[in-house]
Amino acid sequence: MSAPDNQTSAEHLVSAILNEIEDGDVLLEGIGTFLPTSAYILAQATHAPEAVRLCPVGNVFVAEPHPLSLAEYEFETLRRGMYRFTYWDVNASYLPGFIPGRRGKWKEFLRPAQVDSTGRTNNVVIGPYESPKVRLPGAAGLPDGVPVEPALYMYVPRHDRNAFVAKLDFVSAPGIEDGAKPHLIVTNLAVMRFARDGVLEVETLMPGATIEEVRDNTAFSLRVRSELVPFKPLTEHQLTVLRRDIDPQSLRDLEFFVGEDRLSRIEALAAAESSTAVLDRALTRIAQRAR
Amino acid sequence: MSRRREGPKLTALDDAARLVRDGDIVGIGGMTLYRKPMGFVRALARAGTKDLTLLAFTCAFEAEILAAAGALSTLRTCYFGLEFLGLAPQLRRAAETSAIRIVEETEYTIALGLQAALMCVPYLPSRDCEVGTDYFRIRPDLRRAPCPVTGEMLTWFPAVAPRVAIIHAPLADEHGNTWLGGQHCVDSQLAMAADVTIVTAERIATRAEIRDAQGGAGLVSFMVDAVVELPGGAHPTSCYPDYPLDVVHIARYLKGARRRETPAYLDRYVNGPASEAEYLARVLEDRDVGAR
Repeated sequence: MSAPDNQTSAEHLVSAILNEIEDGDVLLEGIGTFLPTSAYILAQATHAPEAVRLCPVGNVFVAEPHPLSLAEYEFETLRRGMYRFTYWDVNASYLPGFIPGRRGKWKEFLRPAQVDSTGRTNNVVIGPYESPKVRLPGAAGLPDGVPVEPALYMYVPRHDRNAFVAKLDFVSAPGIEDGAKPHLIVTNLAVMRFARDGVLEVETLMPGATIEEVRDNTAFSLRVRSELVPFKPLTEHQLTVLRRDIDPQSLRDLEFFVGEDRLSRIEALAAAESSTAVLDRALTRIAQRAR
Repeated sequence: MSRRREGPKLTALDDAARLVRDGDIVGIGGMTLYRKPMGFVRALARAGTKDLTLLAFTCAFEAEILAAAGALSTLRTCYFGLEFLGLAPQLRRAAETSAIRIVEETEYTIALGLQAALMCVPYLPSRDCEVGTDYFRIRPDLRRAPCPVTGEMLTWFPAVAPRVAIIHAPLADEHGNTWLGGQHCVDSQLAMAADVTIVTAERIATRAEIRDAQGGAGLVSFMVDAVVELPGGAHPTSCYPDYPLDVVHIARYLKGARRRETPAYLDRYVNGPASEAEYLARVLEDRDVGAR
């Protein structure tokens, strides 16, 4: 089976993430990660209407689909939130009791800056911790949550040797050896699953990718399943809902861009949003009051 | 935790900024790019405050501006970046050159650390957090030790508290009752754990307005020591429901930073304006609202 060529790399990742979501799941969002978020919302809009999203942006649980936006995503989640939490609730009540599977099927697709063959990840520094070459934003709640999560899902938009490393520069979340349960990694080249014996296995190739390409871009050895599972692209219906209703600005593509290019893209997208007029009016009103 | 002052707490911005001393641990409310006390941060920078330790659940533009202004010596947070806008360039450079010290936090080190401070206990435990990571190496105060009662191995989080907490909100009354709008994050823990808590509010409201707003008060009068009326005080971060995030403003800052124009940004928006009203006038001028 071949994928329709009219789907983007981001949409391939969305499809692979969507495949892992079941109805009734509790889906943990990251901060500013529109790619997995668009898959979560697409699931709510299609086969998983009972799925609930835990949205850090808004500090709310959201149980319904809605469009993504750069400037007003927080407003959308707050308006549609059915329950507001604090981070004391998340850390003291949900994480210890819910994530290990006592209540709800929790899923989180995290994006590691580095990942090794045992599923350990690093989101803190590239280079030595004390004198880093690149200081990353930090691992937020991953060192707290990953050790207790029943299954760990990851996504890597750019599959290369900077991401798939033999040795991490810093361990910000544990892997199999320390009791964590890495399960699946979705990339622009492949879908890979940790087999029962703990070895990372290529299960599916993304359209156009080859095994050689996956191996060349991974700094540790991979096993390849004897029978690869064919890639399942988004259906016509899923694609329409994603592009028309959920993410018409293609914010899911942002994770593929870097530097000035990315900033210009964000600036143009934000300037065209209706929120710009909302902000203009609000600031004008506020400035008059402040004088 | 000190005794709270009684009666009306309305304070001018510059007077409130003087409650922060050089070398203080300052707790910042809100989350990443949402409801951050930016107006207060600009006032701290203008006042030349030095050697601050910032304690925040997640940091973004507020820490970036304080670092650029040279006011920051230590950052205690589990995330510092500008979300979908990318890394925070000034913070990144300061961290890479050791110009500021980073105390690597996690969600638990902050949420449980603040709670431990509120409970007046030295440590609070959890089950398996941080097991198999490098955090124990870089945070020797974070401990893996048995429960003294049952002997089960647990991870222990040390108490932590700011001396001053700064929280921005849409509404507060003159006694300090505060409506947070959205995203409560760990704001009530920060406000209660601090010796001095300052609220900056878009508007001074009546107690009845705050009582009747969605969810009621997020902070009650006894948790707050000073209230500053500060319209637009979260800009360019958002203040739900009053105004959304100013993505274009921050994107332009970042483009400028790539061309080493951060000093020009500070002149225009932080040190240049004599007041926050003038800051807003400059923001509107540069947004070119009339042209749209």
